[in-house]
Amino acid sequence: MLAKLLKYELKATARWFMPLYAALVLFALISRFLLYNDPFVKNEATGFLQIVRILSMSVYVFLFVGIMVVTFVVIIQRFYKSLLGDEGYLMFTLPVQTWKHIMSKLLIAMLWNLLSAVVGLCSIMLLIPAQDLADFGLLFTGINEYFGTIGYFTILFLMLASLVFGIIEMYTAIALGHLFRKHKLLASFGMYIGLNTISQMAFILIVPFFLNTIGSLSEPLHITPGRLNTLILITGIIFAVLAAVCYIVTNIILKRKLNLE
Amino acid sequence: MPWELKNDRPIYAQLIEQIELKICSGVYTPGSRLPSVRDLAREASVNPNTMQRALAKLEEDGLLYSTRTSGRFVTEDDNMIYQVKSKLAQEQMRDFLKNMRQLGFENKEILSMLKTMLEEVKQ
Amino acid sequence: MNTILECKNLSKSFGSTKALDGINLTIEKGRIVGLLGPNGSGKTTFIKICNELLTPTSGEVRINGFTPGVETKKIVSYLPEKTYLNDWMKVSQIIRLFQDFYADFIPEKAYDMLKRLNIDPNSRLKTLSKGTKEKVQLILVMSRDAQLYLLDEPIGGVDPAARDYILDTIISNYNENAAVILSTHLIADIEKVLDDIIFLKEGQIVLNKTVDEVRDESGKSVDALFREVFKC
Repeated sequence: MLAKLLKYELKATARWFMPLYAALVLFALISRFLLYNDPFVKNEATGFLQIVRILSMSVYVFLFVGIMVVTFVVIIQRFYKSLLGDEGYLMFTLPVQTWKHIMSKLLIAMLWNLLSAVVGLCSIMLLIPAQDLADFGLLFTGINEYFGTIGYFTILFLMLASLVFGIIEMYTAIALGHLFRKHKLLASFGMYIGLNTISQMAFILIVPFFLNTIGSLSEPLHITPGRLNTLILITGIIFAVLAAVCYIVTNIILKRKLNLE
Repeated sequence: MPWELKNDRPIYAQLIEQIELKICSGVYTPGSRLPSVRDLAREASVNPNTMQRALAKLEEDGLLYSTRTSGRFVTEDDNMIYQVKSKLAQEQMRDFLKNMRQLGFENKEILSMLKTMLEEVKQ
Repeated sequence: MNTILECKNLSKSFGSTKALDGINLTIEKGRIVGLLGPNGSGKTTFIKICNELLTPTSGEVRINGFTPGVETKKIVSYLPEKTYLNDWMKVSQIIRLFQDFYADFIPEKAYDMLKRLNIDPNSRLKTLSKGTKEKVQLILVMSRDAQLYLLDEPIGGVDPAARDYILDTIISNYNENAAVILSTHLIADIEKVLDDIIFLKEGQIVLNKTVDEVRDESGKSVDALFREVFKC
């Protein structure tokens, strides 16, 4: 059943992203062409060409920002509208466990976040000069040199854990807001701020505790690759734990306190 | 012949009368097979359980009979159909008389009016 | 066991208002039951609780022995009073969705009904009128071979011809192993189709009888009795 939910969630969301991705790559290519392959580029660029160039870049930037906004909006909208709006009448009467509904939304939201990042990055790579492209490579070899191979895993873990938390935190805020009889959206927004505060408190309280075990807090901490790696790992674990708590809370609310009106 | 159901009496009783009427008037001929409960219920736009009860009652009265395999049939006993017919006729006449008396007519008057009416309709 | 739905002391409050107040109810398989009451009497609340869309404040509902959940959703076919169709699918895609999730869904039946009601399976849901959307939802719900149909105001918003079609569908879909509960305030149209009627008033059951019992005892139609009981 989870697979079927994922299939429908993917279908429901792809119609937003696919055209945007295609347009972004297209305008990256057009801008690249206008920037580098222009026969007149070495001579004085004509005013017209300048305008076209600026126009193309503007559309590109607009699309880039658009994708970021859409990614964010779709996370919220797909959860709010299709579970707690009228469509919830359909979704929640399907013979499917509640946790699978949340999981399907979460996994597809993650997928689009990652894809948006990848597509965005690729489009940037299309735009920067070839010699600067090598700097991207430096970033990766740098991690390897500093941390060793383990660095890839801990950094990837941190990124994924914070992504999961970032999404599920919004779901939890919406679910908590749903408990209010009136002004549900406003309540959700308030809950989001609340959750953010709580998660920051968790970091403030827990991270120093671990720093203490790595090295004494009283002395100025000497940062070594190993210590930094542990710190990244701990931060990732905290995100993962917070995400798990949010997931459980959201599930309990949708399972036991659902009140579709 | 459409199904006519009134609002003030049990549907079940009205269905029995309507089926009796359909049998007497030859819509369902003696020995013929009746439509299924579901089809009859659809035709009359009534609850299938109610239709089922009405048919069961008619079966009990002997106007219908059913075989295990092939469904429900109208009786072939003409005498029984005649009895039902006269029962329905008596009901009609009783209603008629009641209405006439309400209008203030005496038996003699009713009889002569009826005679005149019959003559008129004949022509 | 012939009981499909059982309610014990079911109550639901929204803040200080009691939408349902101590409902006790047993519904047998093979019955077509009318849940009748004016707006705000608790009909929709009751049906939503049976679908796990609302959580009861106290008491319980059991459907085929289970409290509302995945097990009951497999056997309950629910028509909400709202249109829940999303706007991006085609009619054929939503049929596919039902087929995917409900083991008892019969697509042939759905396509047959679409044809009879002149609805193009390839049309997009967002292009359909409100009335047509309601018809599509009814088709989806009635194309399941469910054990309990919960229909919330199925004849409320549609034209008389469609109303007759809906009643006809309910009758021809009749199955002695399945019960139908439908809520409405348009009683005259529907009472011939019902076995039992339940009058709800301010969250309480004030009458629970068969249609013929009502007519026999009061010499009135259910509709007339309803007008009397709920006289303003």
